[in-house]
Amino acid sequence: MQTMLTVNKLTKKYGPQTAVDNVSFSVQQGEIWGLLGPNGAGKSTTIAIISTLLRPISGDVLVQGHSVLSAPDRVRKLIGLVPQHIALYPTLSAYENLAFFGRMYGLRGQKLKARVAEVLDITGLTARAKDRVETFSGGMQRRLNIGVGLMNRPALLILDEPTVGIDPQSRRHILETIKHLNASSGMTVLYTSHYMEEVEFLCDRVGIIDHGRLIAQGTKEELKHLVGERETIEIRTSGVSPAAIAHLRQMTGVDEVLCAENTIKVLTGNAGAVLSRVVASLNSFDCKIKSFRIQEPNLESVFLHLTGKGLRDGRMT
Amino acid sequence: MSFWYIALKDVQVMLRDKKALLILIAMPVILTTILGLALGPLFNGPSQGVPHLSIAIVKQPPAAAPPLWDLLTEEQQEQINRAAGNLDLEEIFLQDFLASNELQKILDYRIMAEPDARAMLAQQKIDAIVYLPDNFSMQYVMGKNINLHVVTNTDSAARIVLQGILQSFTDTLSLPRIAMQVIQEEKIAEGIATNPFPDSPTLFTSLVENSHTSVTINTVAEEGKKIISARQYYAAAMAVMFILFAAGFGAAGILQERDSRTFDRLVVAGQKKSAIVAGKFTATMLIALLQMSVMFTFTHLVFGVDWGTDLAGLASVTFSAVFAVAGLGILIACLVKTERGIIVFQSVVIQVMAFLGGSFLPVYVMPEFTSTLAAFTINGQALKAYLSLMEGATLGDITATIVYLIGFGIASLGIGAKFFRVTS
Repeated sequence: MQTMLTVNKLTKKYGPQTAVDNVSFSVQQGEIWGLLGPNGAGKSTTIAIISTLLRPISGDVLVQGHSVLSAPDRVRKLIGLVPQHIALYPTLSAYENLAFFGRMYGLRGQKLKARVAEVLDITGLTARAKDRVETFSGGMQRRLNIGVGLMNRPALLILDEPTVGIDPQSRRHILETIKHLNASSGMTVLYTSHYMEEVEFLCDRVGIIDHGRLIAQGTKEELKHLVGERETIEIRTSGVSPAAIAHLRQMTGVDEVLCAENTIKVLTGNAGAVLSRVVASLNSFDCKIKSFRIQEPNLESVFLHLTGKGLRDGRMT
Repeated sequence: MSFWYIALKDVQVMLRDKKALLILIAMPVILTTILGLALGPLFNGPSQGVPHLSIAIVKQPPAAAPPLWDLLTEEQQEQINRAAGNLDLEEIFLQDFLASNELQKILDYRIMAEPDARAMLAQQKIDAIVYLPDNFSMQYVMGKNINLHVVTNTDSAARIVLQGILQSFTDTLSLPRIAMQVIQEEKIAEGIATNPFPDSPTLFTSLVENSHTSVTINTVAEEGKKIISARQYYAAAMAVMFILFAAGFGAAGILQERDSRTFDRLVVAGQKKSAIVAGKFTATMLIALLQMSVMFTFTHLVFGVDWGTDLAGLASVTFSAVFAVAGLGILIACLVKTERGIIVFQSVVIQVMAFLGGSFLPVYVMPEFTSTLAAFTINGQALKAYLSLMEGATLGDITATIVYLIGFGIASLGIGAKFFRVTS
């Protein structure tokens, strides 16, 4: 299998702030590679450098062997970018948006028309082709946003959090579309998200990024192996005291305890054995339990294990 | 070629933006209509009542002897001097005509030196200056063509009324002289009378031919230019003011595309910064050209505004004005970081430029320092050029303005392009 993308010791700083810190990874052709991390972890900066929009202060990115530093034009021909923002013209129709960006890619005449029709079909927007984008739902706008990134039939499709702020049904449609593109045409996909479920659903291999550093990468199974066979007991309470958390941490069989906004996460090797004691302990501290669930090892627990915080919950104590 | 598609897309976006259409296209048309209607009666004759006129009489300094004077014999010269001495047309004009009871109700006059009269006219303290010809009576007696030279800067009914008054005086003068000449010719033809100037038949013929030219009033604008109506003035003033909004619209579009990351997409699609800048520049030019076209068409068809006859001049000043505006748009996009900045530009900077440039009030009625500042505004320069064309100037007369506007556009574009940021 050929290497589509090589990110080599990439570093980018904004003033004293290091946004990307010596990040390295590679993506094989035909693979869906996920970059998972919370907001502000450095995902978008990494994407901007790979997309030739930003220059790193050190390191390099190669796309099919072409450097973003020395051959950005070659790289641009190979990639399609789907930015986190809805980068469309709201007063133009779906067709007009696709046609405009198609022209920017050098498509003209029948080729342009055919490609626009094809992309409308892929994104499921053929029936709304003549409607202005401003009349679309958030999900439809997101689909068209992806559609623009497909206009040049990219070898590498780069999606930066493409499902932010949309309903579950639209999200499912987008994920299915990406999976279909990958399966049907072998398109390589670099996908960033802070939604563990999306990355888990889509990606073959995953990198976990936090504070600009890639802290782990591998297949999903490899990453889950980092947390071993441990399960997570997630408990929602009406309120929790530091004393209760300290007590839980002293408990036998409990590996880690994390807490944020009345949600307690307990990592344990045997959830069944410690659950009743955890509940009793919280009751003794007058913590009213609203619900609890036991989770198998997943990327969320991997992230928790590696960083001590949740992907979307912010810093945990 | 990509820049052209970027430009066309921007025009398409503008045409679908109701707010932009209102500001860029509808507002200048509406304002010109309102001003046109408000000022319209002033151009349709004295239907609003006869205005009171204040005029200055300037006696032209004695010139050399009248033409052909030397060809006359001493006796003939003496006869003419005697006749002219008996006929004091100046007194008749001032005392018997202008100071008559009827005219006093609508007109007052004062005799002044020319510089003072010019100053008062500039300050609009008087409506017109009437120049009395040197040797008024002598020229009349000799049958010479007499011009009452009138200088005015008023666009109102006052000018029409004044012209009517002076015309009635000169018509009165012309009638007896024409009658006398007809009789004289017939007498000569029948041999009843003899040539009054037997030693100079050529002179006699010349006088007779000249006598067929009636006494005329030469009403002109200052410095011999055509008078510009208020409709003409405000059509140009509104047009040059509102094309400044195209610069604001262009700059806002650049900020918007930067923020929404559509520029990122253009870069990833292989477009260079130069193509994006050229596209945006061209878009602003096209939008401003569209505005000017609408204004030309509307004001000409609805109000009959005459934009001048020099089409090359008109095209040149229009092109250079929209070029300058497009450059300004790129420059603003570099200077302004937020949409709020664009709002400040549109609501403050443009208004100040419009005021200084004479879009609200003619520059000549404003303090002198504003006239100086007006010369630095692109709308002021463009307005000056359009007014010159309306006054009858040609392309050659407005070259300096065109050079200034193109220079401004190039400088703004150069600076703007240098600091143009594609990514946010």
